Parts: sequence; C-alpha cells; structure tokens
Amino acid sequence: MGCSQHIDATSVTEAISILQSQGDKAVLVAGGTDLVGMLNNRLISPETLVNIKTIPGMDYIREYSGGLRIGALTRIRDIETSAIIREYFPVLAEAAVSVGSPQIRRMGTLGGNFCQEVRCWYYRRSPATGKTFTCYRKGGNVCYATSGDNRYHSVIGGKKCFAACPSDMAVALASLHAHATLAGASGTRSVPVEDFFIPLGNILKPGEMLTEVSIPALKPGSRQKFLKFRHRKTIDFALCSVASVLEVEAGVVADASLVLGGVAPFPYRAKAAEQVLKGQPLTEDLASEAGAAALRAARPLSLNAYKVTIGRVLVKRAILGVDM
Amino acid sequence: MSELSVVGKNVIRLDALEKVTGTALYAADEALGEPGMLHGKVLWSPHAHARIISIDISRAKKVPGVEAVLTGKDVPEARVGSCVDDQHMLAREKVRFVGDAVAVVAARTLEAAEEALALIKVKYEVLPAVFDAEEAMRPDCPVVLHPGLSGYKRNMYPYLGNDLPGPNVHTHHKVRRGNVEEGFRQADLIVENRFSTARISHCQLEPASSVARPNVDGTLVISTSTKSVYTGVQAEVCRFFGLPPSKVRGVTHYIGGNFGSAPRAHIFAALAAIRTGRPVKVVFSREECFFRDLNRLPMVIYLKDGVKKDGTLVARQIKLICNCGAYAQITPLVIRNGSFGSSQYRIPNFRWDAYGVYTNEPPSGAFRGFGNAQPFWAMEQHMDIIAEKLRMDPVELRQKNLIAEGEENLRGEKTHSMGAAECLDKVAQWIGWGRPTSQPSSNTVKVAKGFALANKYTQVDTIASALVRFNKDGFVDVFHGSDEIGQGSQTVLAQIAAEELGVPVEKIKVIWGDSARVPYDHGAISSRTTMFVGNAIRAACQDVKRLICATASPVMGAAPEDLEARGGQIYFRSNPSKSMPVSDLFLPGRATCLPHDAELLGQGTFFYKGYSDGDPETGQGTRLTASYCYTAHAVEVAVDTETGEVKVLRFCSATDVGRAINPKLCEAQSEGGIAQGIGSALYEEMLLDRGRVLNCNFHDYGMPRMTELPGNHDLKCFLVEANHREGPFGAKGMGEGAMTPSAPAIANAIYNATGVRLMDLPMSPERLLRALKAQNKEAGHKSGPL
Ligand SMILES: Cc1cc2nc3c(=O)[nH]c(=O)nc-3n(C[C@H](O)[C@H](O)[C@H](O)COP(=O)(O)OP(=O)(O)OC[C@H]3O[C@@H](n4cnc5c(N)ncnc54)[C@H](O)[C@@H]3O)c2cc1C
Repeated sequence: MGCSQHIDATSVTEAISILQSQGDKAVLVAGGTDLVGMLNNRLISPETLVNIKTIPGMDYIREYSGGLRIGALTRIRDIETSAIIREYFPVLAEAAVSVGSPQIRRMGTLGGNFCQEVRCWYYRRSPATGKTFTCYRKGGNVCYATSGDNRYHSVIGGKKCFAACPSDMAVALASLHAHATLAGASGTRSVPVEDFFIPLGNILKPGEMLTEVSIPALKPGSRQKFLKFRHRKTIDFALCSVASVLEVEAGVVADASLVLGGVAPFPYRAKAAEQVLKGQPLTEDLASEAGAAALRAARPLSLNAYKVTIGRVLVKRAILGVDM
Repeated sequence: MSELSVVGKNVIRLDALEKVTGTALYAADEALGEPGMLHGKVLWSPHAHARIISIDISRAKKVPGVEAVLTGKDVPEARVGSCVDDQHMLAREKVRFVGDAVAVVAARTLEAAEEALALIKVKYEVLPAVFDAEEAMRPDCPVVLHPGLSGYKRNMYPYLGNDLPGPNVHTHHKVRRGNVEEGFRQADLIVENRFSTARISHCQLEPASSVARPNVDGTLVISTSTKSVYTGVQAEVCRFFGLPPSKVRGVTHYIGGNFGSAPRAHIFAALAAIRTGRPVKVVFSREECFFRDLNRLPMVIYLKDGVKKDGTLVARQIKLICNCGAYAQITPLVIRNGSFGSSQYRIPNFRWDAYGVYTNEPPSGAFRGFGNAQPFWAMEQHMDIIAEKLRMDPVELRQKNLIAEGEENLRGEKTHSMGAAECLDKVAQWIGWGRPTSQPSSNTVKVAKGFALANKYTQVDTIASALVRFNKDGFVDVFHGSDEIGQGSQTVLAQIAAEELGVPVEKIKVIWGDSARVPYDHGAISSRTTMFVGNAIRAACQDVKRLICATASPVMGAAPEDLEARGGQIYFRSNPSKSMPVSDLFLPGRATCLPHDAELLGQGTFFYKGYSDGDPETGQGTRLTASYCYTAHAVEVAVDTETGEVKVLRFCSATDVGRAINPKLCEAQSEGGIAQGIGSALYEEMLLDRGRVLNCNFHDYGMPRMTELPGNHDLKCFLVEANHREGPFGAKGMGEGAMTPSAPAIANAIYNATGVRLMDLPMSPERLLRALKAQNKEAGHKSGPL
C-alpha cells in the first residue's frame, strides 16, 4: 500500500486542515471497509491517511425536535439496531440491515457509506489482471460500461459515468428528506442527501468532509418500506432498491416520498411517481401506476433494461408494503 | 460379506482437529520468512491477442532486490501442454489471452517484484481476436490462434486430432452407435434444441501457491497447492523442463479445495528457481486464479432426440462446441470423457460430435463433473420436454429408458452397479412428486418442483500403489500418493485399512503428499481415490497380513495358510481362541523373532488389466470407465414472475455411491455439490469483456451464500448403495457426480412453475424476465383476434 503517513486526527478542524494542506495526497479513513479495497487495488495511492475514528463526538444518534441527527462516524450496525430508528424511521433500519454483512456493518460508518466509491467493475479493476481502464472517473475520456457489460449500471441520470450509487443508506435517508452536513475550512453547509451525489462522485470540495446527517421530524404513523433487489440476499449491493415513505389518511395518500437506488448515479427521487400518488386513494392499480411513472425517465443501456422492469415492481410493492 | 466394523461408520475426519485449531499446513504456509527465498510474480498479457514486438527488461532488472527477470527467451524451446503441446511457458511470439504469461520476476521482496513487473516494457502489435466458439470454429475464421496446430505434439489420445473442421479446432471427439438417421425415421416425436453453459470458476478457497527449491544435489523440490504429487507436479515439471523424475520431487500439504482447478503456480516457481538457483515462492491472487485456474469449459450444445409414442428413446444426436480458450490444456480429455454420461439411458442409435475450439479467452479445463454437467444441462431438460409432449410422467420416462444391470450401454460396456432407479425413486418420494408444493403459488410467485438424473464415471486407465507398515506397537502407517483436497479421502482410506486389518481406525496413520516418500498414484482426480487408492491400500493390507502369517508360522508352529492376522493378533484358523499378538513377533530372545526394529511392510497396486481405449471412430469399447456414480436431484423452487428471482425452497439428492465408506462425508460431498450446482444454475458466470474477466473477485462473482441455500429440513441427501464388485467393500467414486444434475433439475422446476424454458446458463433474473416477456407476447398473439 505504501502510504508514508498515518495521522490520527483529534478534531474535525484538524482533519480538514490536513486535507487542505495536502490536497489529494491525503484521504480520510473511517472504518476502512471501502478504502482498503481501493488501496489494495491501487486505485488510489495517497501519501497520508487521516484516521477520523479518533475524532471524539462524531458517533451519535441524537433526537432533536422530533427529528434525528446522526454523526458521520456512526456505524451502520448502530443505525440498524437503534430503538429510535426502528420505531420512527424503520425505512432506515431496513436499509441498514441490508448493507453488506454483519462484519461490514460493524466496521463501516455512515460517512464512509456515503463517500464510498462506486462498484463499477471497469473502475474497480485491479492492475493484477493486466490492463486497467482509464475511464472518466480516473481522468480518462470514456465510460467502458456504455459499450461493455453494463448490466449493473445506471438506467437514469448517467452522465459520462454510468456507475450506480452504491449507498443504501443514502436512498433511505433521501426518502426521509435528510440533509448532509459538510464541514470545510470556511464553515459548514447543509445539502439534501440526494444532491450530495453526482455522476462522477459527490459534491465534497477539496478540504471538505461529511460530519452529520439530519432527518427532519416526520408526521407519526407514516408507512415506510425499504426494498432491495439483488442476486444474493447478503453482501450484494442493490441492483435496484426503493425507499418509500407515505402518509396515508383515510385510505388516501396525503404525502409520498419515493427514492430509488441502484438505478442512477445518485439516489433517484421519483417525483413523477410521488405526483401520481398524492391525493389519490391507495390501491394496487395506483401503486402500479406509480411504479410505471417512477421509471418513465429510464434510458437503459444495452444490458440493463431488466432493472426498469424490476424497479417498477419494487416501487409498487414498497407502496403496498409487501415484502420481496 | 461379514459384518463391517469401520466401513460404513461416520468416523470423524482425521484432519478435523488440525483444521479447526488452525494448525493444518497449506502450501502458502511454506517458507514464510525463509532466508534467501525469492518472491516470484508473473506479468500477464493485457491483450486478448497480440504479437510481441519487443520486451525491455532493463529497468526492471535494476530494481534493488531483483534477482531475475525472465521472458520467453529464457524458457525451453519446445512447446508444452497437457494434451496438446501448444504453449510456451512464457509467451514467445504471441500472446493469446488476457492473462497469458509474458514474464516472471524473482526478487527478494514482494514489493521489489511488483515494482519490477511494472517496469517491464512490452511492445505489442494488437491482433484481431475471436471470443465466440461457434465463430472461431468456422473453416474461414479470419483469426487463427495456432497456425502451427497440425504440427503440434499430442500427448494423449492423438486420434482426437483427426477430422478437424476448421483451423481453430483442436479436438473432434466422436461416438457412434447404430444409425441415427434410421432412428429418427422410426421416431414418433423429434425434439431439437440449442443449449449453452457458462464459463464458471472453481472458487476453491485456497489460491494457488507454490515454493520451488533447488537442492544442492540438483533435485528440484516443489511444494504446491496443485494436487497430484506425481502426475500434476513431478511428471509435468519433468516434461516441461526436460528433467528426469529422480530430479523432481513433488510435495503437497492440505489443499484448500480443488474441484478440478489447475492453476500451476509451480511452473513459474520452478522456472525462476532453476534460473536463480534459489528457492522461489509464487502465490496467485484471487484475481489471478480466475483467469489461470482453467475454468469450467463452456459449451454450446445442439441436441436432437427421437422417441417412440410410448417413450422409448430411439435416437439421440448431439453436437457440442466447446470454448476451450487460448490453449487446449486438458480440454480434449474433458471433451472425450464428457461423453460417458449419456450412457445412462438405452439409446440404440447415438451420434456424438464434440469439438474443442481455440478462442482468445482464458483456457478452460476440468471442473467437478469433468465435462459431464454440460451435456446433462441439455439432455435432462430434453427428458422433461419429451415427457410433457408425450403426456408421460417424467420420472416414468426416465425409469423406462434406464439401462439395466448387465445390459450393454451405448458405448459397449457391460452395465454394473446401477443404482439410478433407486436414486430417482428416493428423490421423487422425498420431494413429493405428484403432490402439492410445500407452499401454494400466488399471482406473482409460482412454486413448482423439478428433477434430473445424471452420473459421473470414474476414469479407468490409471494406477494406484500403496504401502502399509504394521508397527510393533500395533499402529499402522499407510502410505499413498493421493491428496487431501478437502474431500476427506484420508479418513476414508484409513477406514478401509482399519477394516481390512481389523484394527481401530485410531491406530491408522495416513502418510501422503511427497513423491519422495509415498508410492505412485495418479492423483485426486476423476472421483477415483476411494476406488483406486482404496483398493491399493486394501491389497497392501492383505500383503502385510500374509507377511505377518508367514513370519508367525515358525513361531506358532502352523503353516501360514492356517493362520489369520486380524486386529493386531494372529489366530489359528482352526481354533480362533488361540492367538498371539503381532507385537510378540518382535520380542527379543526368541530365535525366530523379528529383529526389534524390523518392519512388517506390505505393498499393493491397483489398476484395471482389461480396460479398452475405445475405437477412435466410434468411441466403442468394452471397458472405458471404472464405474459410474448416479445422482438424482429433486428441487422445489419459487419463481417471482415479476422480478425473475428464483428461490430454491427445498432440495434433495440421492447418490449411488456403491458403498458409503463414511456416510457423513458422502453427505457432505452431496451438500457441497448441491451448493455448487445451485451456483452454476442461478448465479455463476465469468463475465468477459473482450477476453477480460470483469468479475474476478468474490464480491462480483456470484457464488451462492448460505442465504441462497436450503438448509435443515429443506435439504436431504440420500445415499444409495449399489455395491460395485471391484470397489473396496463395494464403494465407487462419488464426489464429482454431486453437482451434475442440479442445473437441469432447477431448469425443469422453473419450467413447471412458469412454462418458460431456459436453455442458457445461468438462469439469472435478466434471462428469466426476458423469457417471461417473450412468453407473454406469444400468449398475447395466441389469445388475440384471429
Ligand atoms: C463486501 C462489501 C459489501 C457491501 N455491501 C454494501 C451494501 O449492500 N450496501 C451499501 O450501502 N454498502 C455496502 N458496502 C459498502 C459499505 O457500506 C461501506 O464500505 C462502508 O459503509 C464504508 O464505511 P467506512 O467507515 O468503512 O469507510 P472507509 O472505507 O473508511 O471510507 C470510505 C470512503 O469514504 C471517505 N470517508 C469516510 N468518512 C468520511 C467522512 N466523514 N467525510 C468524508 N469522506 C469520508 C474515505 O476517505 C473513503 O474515500 C459494502 C462493502 C463491502 C466491502
């Protein structure tokens, strides 16, 4: 791996100042579950690793006026098992339990889950296997997936890079209208979770880091569901996932939040589907209609049209609260 | 046969304690921290097909710690290979797949080796490549991988090189029986389809690892995770480097799974060790295993069956096009032996043409089932298709056509030890064939059952030897040359020796894994260890018993034939109450005793005297195989017709093992086979982009996990025991048969659930959704206005 320096940061300010002074020669490491794979495959070769696990007070799940603040160093496992989250934000707990394996959930943090790299096999390719692919993400000017094997790539919103956003946590949190807090040298800013991700990565500027995710208060009694389709029931990332949060009053959908994962470079908010639902009596037909609307914008690549079919079904089932 | 005391018992694995305590040694544990040892790394071709213009190693050689940088110039002139000598150890003029070996670096540290590897500059002229076997097979295919093919030396079955229809075809295997045209004329129903199987990886847990050590006496000692110290290591290294067997010693430790993989890290270690005179260790990464292990041979299968109204099979014609990758390796043998499976049914007119084709993909090879699972993928779906068309029960159709004990099969062999009918009955009964499913179907989730019957032969033309030493403390050392690849053979072999000698299994020590210390064996391949090595050990035990009786004869005052050695005692046959302990033979002070430290050593060798090679034109012979292990699988699946997801709800296997020496171990083999079978059916496929493996790690490659496998009461493995007259205590090989029927069984269940027939592997949600869509369209047409 050959990193020459390993610094245990003791504060956000310190971590940020190292990032600022060293530019892309320094990277943050939290649980390391993603980063170590990146280092092993020589996808990045930083000179300095900044360990942020040593920063006190960034690992918390805290209530505030009906909402929730979750520190970036909170482990996925703690989100999965949190009594508050299970009771009030089950969509998030369901997403958490679907992440990786027990080992990864115990090591992996929320911040790392947001900032993890995509799983595109062209991008991730290890140099041990001969040639690597210099794609857009690596500063090249091609996406190998568009002309290659793109069965796991985006069907919506790809631009240059078509890798799908790998984070399940972001999908659930976006459906809860959560915001991410980003800290930089000149202070902090807050962005809606779904805007954090962009096709070539995320909106973190050099020298910025993620410190917290906050969930606003939610009307009690909402119907929440997280459904994830994948080949195997553990460890695999989502081929397609849906987080749905519905407020249903007297059988009529008063409000709806629907976010899809695995289909776009970011958690994809299915606005058209939300519109279909709002104000309508909740029926199976309506759920199907919303499913169709959710993927209307899809423009599948050569090998991933099946994601559209599955996405429609997932949206319908999530709305109806049916399990896979 | 008299009552058995050790055979048939669930003896705990001899290696259990070592393995659970983490003290068991594997090849990668060798030479850790050994002074002077070098690390070898191989430079792989990044191109699927290219001419090497030049290789500049000058900068690589200057890296501190680098002791050697070897390229094609440094390897023997002669091409090498398994069946066809078509390859230089390091590429010379051309590279033919992404992963072809181009250079080897040996350095004092791994880091230095890696640094040097990156500094080797190879100039390539990229050539057009061909990846599709059917395209490569065409006589006018513009890409020719091996223009010199006709001049290459063939080491095995040279007749497989006759009648090659195109320049990229290296193997043509034929079987002929009766007259298929005539058979099809007699048929009331003809069914014809195209099937294909995927390229899958063995995924054995232990990545290839090897240390080669040049001894001062000029011997090369090679320890490796590749099985078969004699054939896989010694014989191959001798042939590749032109060394006599006495100069090469093969050593193996426990091997962390195999399933037919043959990564050969030891060839690179040996090359670098010979050139540097230093010990060299080469360990492959998981990624490297994916393109170096010789994955399961992908086949395109054209199958045509003719059948009478009453279900009698009258003709079968099968054409297989096998994507062997850039070098033939062991594929000609895989192709030839893949034909044996078809002999489970009585088919008077049979024609088989299998072609091994070069493409610019990674070379393929053996994989649990040795070429038999692929044809069964087609043949066992056809049985269900036929049954449905004839409105027959598919179990009954199979039973009706099964070859019977004593009957001549379609290869000319006399059928013996035939437990298939019982296997079928067992699984049909357990799964509840003809009865409702365990859970009802819903609008979207369809539940149904399916099954398939298959078999796996054991190779006949091999030899096993064994030595047995009866020690004076009553313990027994058993020496043999097969390997422990995780299958538990050491335990089974110890049981065979214990039974034959009448001693407790705790007194048996099994010694293996070193060509300098154990007698010859062909290796842990072809499900042959129990039968061949087991028989050799049994013979050696009998030999040592004869020796004991002969030695005891003057002491006990009886002729050797009147004595019997059993359980550490020597008895008078006429009066078993009178006996003497074997240990007394060593007592000093007795004129006729053995010197105190003398040995009682027996030896045994097993091979078939009467095997036949098979006629090159017809594949007919009288004894082409040692035995057949039959396996039936029955499965219940739930298919989500909206998402294409298939869940395996219940799974049952029944395997005719001849005799279960250790039933638990047989069941473990069955369970492992089912897991691998489910993987091959639903999830696994090496995905290649212009010859590059994309999913070459355990994250992207779809092995099933515990969550995909049925367990507890939903999984059942039956053992059927149609004793084999030549097997030790009636046993025959069973490990490979364990996954051969899984994929067609699942395909048949999916069909029964949905009416959709999938003919390509794996049966992924993508494929199933596409097929369901096509079915809907068709249904729409049918129900639409006429
Ligand atoms: C086998 C496997 C299966 C997985 N399956 C899933 C899955 O099903 N669903 C899913 O959502 N995820 C999955 N993951 C991803 C996993 O959730 C992430 O690896 C984990 O959450 C990352 O957290 P970490 O603390 O280990 O991050 P690290 O590995 O330490 O860091 C990852 C990246 O984030 C950056 N980073 C970390 N913290 C911050 C911060 N506070 N601010 C800015 N940048 C930061 C690091 O610099 C690095 O680039 C899987 C991972 C593996 C290895």
